Amino acid sequence: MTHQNGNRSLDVHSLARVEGEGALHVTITDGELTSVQLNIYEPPRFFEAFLQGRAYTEPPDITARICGICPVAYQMSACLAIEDACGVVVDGPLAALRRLLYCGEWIESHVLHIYMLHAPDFLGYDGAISLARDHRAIVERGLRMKKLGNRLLEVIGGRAIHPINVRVGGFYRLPEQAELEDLVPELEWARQAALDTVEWVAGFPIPSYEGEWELVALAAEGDYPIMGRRIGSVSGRLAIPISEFSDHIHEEHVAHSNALHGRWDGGEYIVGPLARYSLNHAALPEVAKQAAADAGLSAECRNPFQSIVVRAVELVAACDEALRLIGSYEAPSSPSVEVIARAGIGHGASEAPRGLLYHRYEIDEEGTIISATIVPPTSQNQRAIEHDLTHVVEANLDMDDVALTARCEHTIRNYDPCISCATHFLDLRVDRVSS
Amino acid sequence: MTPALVIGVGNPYRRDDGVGIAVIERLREVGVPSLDLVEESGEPVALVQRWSGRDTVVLVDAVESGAPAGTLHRFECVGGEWDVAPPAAAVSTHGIGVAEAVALGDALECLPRHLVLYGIEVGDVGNGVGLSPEVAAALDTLVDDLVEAAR
Repeated sequence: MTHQNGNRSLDVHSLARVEGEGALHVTITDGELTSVQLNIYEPPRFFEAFLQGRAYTEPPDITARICGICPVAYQMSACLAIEDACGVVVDGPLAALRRLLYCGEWIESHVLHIYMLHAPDFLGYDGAISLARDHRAIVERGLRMKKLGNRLLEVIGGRAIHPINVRVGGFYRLPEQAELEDLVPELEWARQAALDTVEWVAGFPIPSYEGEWELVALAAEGDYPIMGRRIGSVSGRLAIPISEFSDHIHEEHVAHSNALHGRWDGGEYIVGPLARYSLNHAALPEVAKQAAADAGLSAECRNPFQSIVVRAVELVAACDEALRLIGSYEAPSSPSVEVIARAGIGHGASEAPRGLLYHRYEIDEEGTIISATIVPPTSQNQRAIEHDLTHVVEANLDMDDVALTARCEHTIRNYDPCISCATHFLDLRVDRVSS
Repeated sequence: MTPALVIGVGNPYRRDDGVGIAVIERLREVGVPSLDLVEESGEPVALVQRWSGRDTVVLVDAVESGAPAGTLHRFECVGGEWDVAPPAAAVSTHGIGVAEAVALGDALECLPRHLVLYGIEVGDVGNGVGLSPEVAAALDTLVDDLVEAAR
């Protein structure tokens, strides 16, 4: 911390984490908040250009590298979009297997965020290491669940990071029935551990705040949505097929950030667990619905600080869903369906752990990619995060810089942005200026 | 004897940052039966879980300390004690990843008995693929050393 000429500035430097870099700059002038600027580095911009001229079979492997935490989300949205362009629908047992793989990613990602990144904010720890020293058994419970998520990715995806078994049309190799059944005892343990997680986080001191943004997610067509064809919003003002995504959600440049901000033509919106849950509460498995009720969540949740509870409820749902999918598993007749290139445009959307992830590809008759558009959840949430930060800073101007910094980081972590891979992910600066 | 585990950390789409992954790919091409090879993104919990229960672990990552590109750094940790403590956050381009993983492994008492951390100094970590010549040369040296040590 530096003190100069009556102005105070505080810098939290830490990492240049390559998969996500971020900076937040808060300016307080004469005791009043005058500016909140969040700048999140966004890898998809590079990948969109990188994909041009590549074969239509390549996006699942290439886009998996965009995020080390949610490769399956990128792979699935990519596959769905390419298949859409080629006029192919992958359904039945192959779609079920994809959903099972995706459950593994939800488990892994949600556990990581709840236990290692977000819980320390509520319990007053500076990070997962000090939390682990004081609450070792709890952290070990989280690690065991995360390991199970990894295992699902290994069994179905071929390996835990950047799964290599996913292809346009399905998979290269199908898992053995026995490999899946071997996961059942641990999944049953994990479902109970997830219920215990809901109970644990529901007891955290949760700041009160009601966001005024719209809640946008894939709309359930039966089961709680992971991959889907329709997008909806809680107010009902947005109800579109995913092919109309770009007609309603625009990406725009803002001066302070090299990332694009998603903007809905109807105003501010968020994607992610709060939106998924609030739009699709009725589609949750019973055990998850009951856990939500026991935790005191109503069917609609607008407090981003409660997202940790919603994530835990979704963790229950993912474990339960994985058990259901394994229980009803029928080996597909072939590891993949044939997808023959044809000229066209395709759209794909899925619910990454941190929210709606949209891909669009235009390919020519040879299958060469002419253009690619990737809209990740974090860029869609960036505007709402700034909105929340403005509210949080204004409500807590009396905090010292250390406490205010912590509260700002907590506010950002509510959205589990890709940059939160690390505990202290931000170059965060609070300037207090006298005019 | 249990094979040593070599973990490569990095992102091949950020040029020199991908050197840890490139080391694993090269070792696969060479074929060293006494080494288990695995790639990681650098996320700390995944690293802890990956090395948990292993005796000897070699971790290869890209680092950024201000030294000339291609400089090879080596830190060794035996029984939880470093020979020279790696500078915490400043080192790895996944700095928090690896440094935090070691601290977390220590807190949970699941560090490998013998951990060797190789850091290769990066030049260019812009978007794209391929390594700078200095980093590619350092990769050759490190792979030769690892193959030699494994024999």
